[in-house]
Amino acid sequence: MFWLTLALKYAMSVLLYVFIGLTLYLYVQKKEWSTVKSGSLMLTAFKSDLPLIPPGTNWDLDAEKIIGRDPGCGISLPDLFVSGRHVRIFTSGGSCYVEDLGSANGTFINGKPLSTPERLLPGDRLQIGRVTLGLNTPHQGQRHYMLSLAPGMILMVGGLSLYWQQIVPFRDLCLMAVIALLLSATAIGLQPKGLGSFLFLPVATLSALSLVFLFRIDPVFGLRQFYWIILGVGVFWLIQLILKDYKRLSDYQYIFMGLAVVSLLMTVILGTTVSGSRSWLMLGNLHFEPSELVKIFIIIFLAGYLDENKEVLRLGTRRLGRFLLPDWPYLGPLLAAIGLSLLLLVFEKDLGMALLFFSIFISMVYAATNRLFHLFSGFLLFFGCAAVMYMIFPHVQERVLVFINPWQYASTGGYQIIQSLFALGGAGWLGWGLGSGWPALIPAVHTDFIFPLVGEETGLLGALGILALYLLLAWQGFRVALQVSDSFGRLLAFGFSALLAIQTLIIIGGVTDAIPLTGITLPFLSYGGSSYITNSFMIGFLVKLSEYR
Amino acid sequence: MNDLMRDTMNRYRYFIAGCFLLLSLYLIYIVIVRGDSLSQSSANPRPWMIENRVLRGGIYARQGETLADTAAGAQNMRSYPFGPVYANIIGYSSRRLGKTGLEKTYDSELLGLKGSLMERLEVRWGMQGLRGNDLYLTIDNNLQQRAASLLSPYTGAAVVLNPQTGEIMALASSPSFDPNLKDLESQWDITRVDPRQPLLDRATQGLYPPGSTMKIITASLGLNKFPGLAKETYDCKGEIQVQGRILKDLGVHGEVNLNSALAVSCNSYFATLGLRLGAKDFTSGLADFGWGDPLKLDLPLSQIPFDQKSFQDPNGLAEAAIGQGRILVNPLYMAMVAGSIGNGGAMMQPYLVREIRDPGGGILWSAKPQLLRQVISPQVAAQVKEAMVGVVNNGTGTAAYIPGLDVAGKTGSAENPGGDPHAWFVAFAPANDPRVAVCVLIEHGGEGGQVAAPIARELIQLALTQGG
Repeated sequence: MFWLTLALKYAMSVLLYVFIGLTLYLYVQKKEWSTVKSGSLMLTAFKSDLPLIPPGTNWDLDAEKIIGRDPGCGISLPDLFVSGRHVRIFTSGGSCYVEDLGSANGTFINGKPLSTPERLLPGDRLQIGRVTLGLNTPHQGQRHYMLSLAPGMILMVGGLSLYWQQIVPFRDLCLMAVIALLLSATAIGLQPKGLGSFLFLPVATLSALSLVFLFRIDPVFGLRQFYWIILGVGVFWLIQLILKDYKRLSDYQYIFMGLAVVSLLMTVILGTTVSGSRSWLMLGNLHFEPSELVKIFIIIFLAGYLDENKEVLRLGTRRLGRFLLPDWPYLGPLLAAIGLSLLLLVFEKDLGMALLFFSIFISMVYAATNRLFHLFSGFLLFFGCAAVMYMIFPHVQERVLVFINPWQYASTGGYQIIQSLFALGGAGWLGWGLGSGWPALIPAVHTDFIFPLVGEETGLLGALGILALYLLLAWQGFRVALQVSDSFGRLLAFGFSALLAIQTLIIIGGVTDAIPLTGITLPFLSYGGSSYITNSFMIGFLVKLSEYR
Repeated sequence: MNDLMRDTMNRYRYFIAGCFLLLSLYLIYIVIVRGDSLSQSSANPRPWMIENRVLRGGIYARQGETLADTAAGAQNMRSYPFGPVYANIIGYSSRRLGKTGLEKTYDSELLGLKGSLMERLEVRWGMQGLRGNDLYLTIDNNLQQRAASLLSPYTGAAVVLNPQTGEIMALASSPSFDPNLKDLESQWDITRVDPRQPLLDRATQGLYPPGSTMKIITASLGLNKFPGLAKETYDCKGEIQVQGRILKDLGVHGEVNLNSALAVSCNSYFATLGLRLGAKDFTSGLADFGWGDPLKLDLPLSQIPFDQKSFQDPNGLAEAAIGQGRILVNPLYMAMVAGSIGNGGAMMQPYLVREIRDPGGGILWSAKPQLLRQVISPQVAAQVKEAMVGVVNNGTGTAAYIPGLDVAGKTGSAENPGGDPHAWFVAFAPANDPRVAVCVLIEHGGEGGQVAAPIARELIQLALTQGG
């Protein structure tokens, strides 16, 4: 009896460690797409109507290969629709390029005719006559169905443990089973997408943990999060099914900016204050945080705007001392729009979100323009703003003072952080086991401070594992960004990934007193509908974008 | 162009990974390096929440009297039926003020954390209410109460121990405080700054010059170095001069030998003996008695300073030989010294906890007497004992005389800058087979023979009639 209880308390953690370890192992095993050496690249025939070239035929791609009907070609395709010397494939600087050699019937890359030499990326489909070719890497196509089941298993084991310890009733266990099925089905359904599946796995795991810990803190939160997860996964699938041409979103960039400003204005005027931040809208019984949605709006706006104006922003036309600055007409709208959002957030006293927006702004401008100048001036601007805010707002001052020495404010402003440090510090490698921690001691443990509780009950290994999951998520998101063929999509993917990563760093850094605490949710893990659905939207978008390579 | 953006993003992604790595290292630092100190922080309520899953074990005196216990359902209220009498030994256990005394030393035993693996695990994970283990002390409740009441008019300490085993039968300090939480916490701000220092256990943590009780040790060292010393005589003129400095005596004792010099506590004799021994032998002799070795007990102890340099100077050496100057000891140690003379030179390790029992009464651990060190040969010990019996029978210590019983003792009056000398009396009885060794110290009590010796006599009588 005792041993069974004990085993159940740790079963979920152990499953989590093993799963994360295995995922990381498999992930590292796979070769990096962008840095594949030419020698290890293979060209594969994915479709072929030629009897001599069955689908699955492979060719090594060394320095250069000519494809054509002539038997002397490196890759000889005995097809009447193929010219004698049809197309040239060559590698340069680790990348692979294709050049049509003036063929009669043309070469198509992803359905589009090839006119100038183009880079061939993994996943691209090259159609020559009746053969469809594509790059192949040794591990592509390897699927991990067992891995896809892991988030559901983690959820079920955690739920069983809670049920066995009489923390949740049988009904809640059933609810968890529903989510477990949903997550597993989604993960398996995404398997063919390769890249996308690795993107969804961390999300599914975090969602599973979120549900377990929220039921563990208070079944009321658990029940609501149950609905949020269903809605979130629904949004995720909706994007997979209906989003056909995301590029058109860039036509509406200013509308998104307008939406962002309006949402924030409405919050300032009509908002309700929850735990110090006036960042909530009440719709009947429903609490709703518009700034979560604004994250998406702003990223779409930034991606569109920067895509359009990146050249001008990069080169700069106005001289300021030694620096070249872009003209006001280009820089102005960007700065104004962002400044307005930040200002509104300051009025809402939602520091975390303001910090997040600022970081995203700087990151995306940097990515689009590749100019460190923007990065540095952004940081300068940031510290300038921070200093001004420190002078003006007492609540900012308090945050900074608490950050510097929380022990001095142990019973007032520093209480939360100190309890969080106690929770983590007492965890050891394996933690106290599910159900053995003290969530009641940490205020806001279900939202911003869920990380210390997870750390307390799953230990240092669990906490590091969760960090690894977030890194994996962001890393994978950046990989999608690197692969997307157009720069608008690339900036979108980059923005979403950077946002998730920075949000995680800000809140985990905040609760561990590594940086001043600013309250925002921990993506997917914290309780909250606005946050969960928004983040699901971003992941859905990323998975969708991973198809456009 | 696109490659440029890719490069930037690629760089950015490594930057993010670096941030995650830093955060991970910081987490490891919090858990592994700072973990213990965070867990033990007084602002951390978690240890108390774990504790409250356990019914803290009781503490019992030698005959089973309850000295500390916690009632089921009142986990936060530890009760100490004898209040101040045991405060210096048992200490207190308070959420706000922390723990002291045996409550601190045996914390994990009282909480059952050192019980069977299974119990430990159950407490760790809070699966069911548990009872901690009980402590059974060597303290004799009657003796301890008597010591406390005899001391109560004074500031001082009394120690009673069994010289053959090292069991401490009484360890009293005055003034004391009430460890019952209601009083303790409400009075804390007053108690803490009280100039009489009730929180200080004078028996173990006080440091005083031993005064003439030191002459027991000087006599032992002299007999050890000069086997014929007992037959030699010395003419006491009431004072001696050491390098031009005059050391006064209480009177002109005339012709004395070792026994009579100890009986009348002749300063001239022992100062001269100290000088004859010389700095080197005096120092190594003190080392044999344990100077320089850390004392160990289940309670915090003041360590006895061993200032070897001061013996190099003849004045310092002469003063040290009569227990003045730089020599400082605590009362527990002087009881151990007296006991070791009675026990043929064998100094036993003192101890307070006799047994640890599980909630069912099963004995988990029981103490075994341990020889701490042989401080002097049995022959010398016997000679010194002889002289000490003389002190009580016809010397300065007659106030400790008990008809029909040989009591070996030594008085002391330790000069100090704070006012009247501290009164000392150390003794053991019966002299030939001692079952009790006593040390009484009264701060600024004046002559040891007048204040301290009567208290020692009462304690010896009570201890021996109890058959302890």
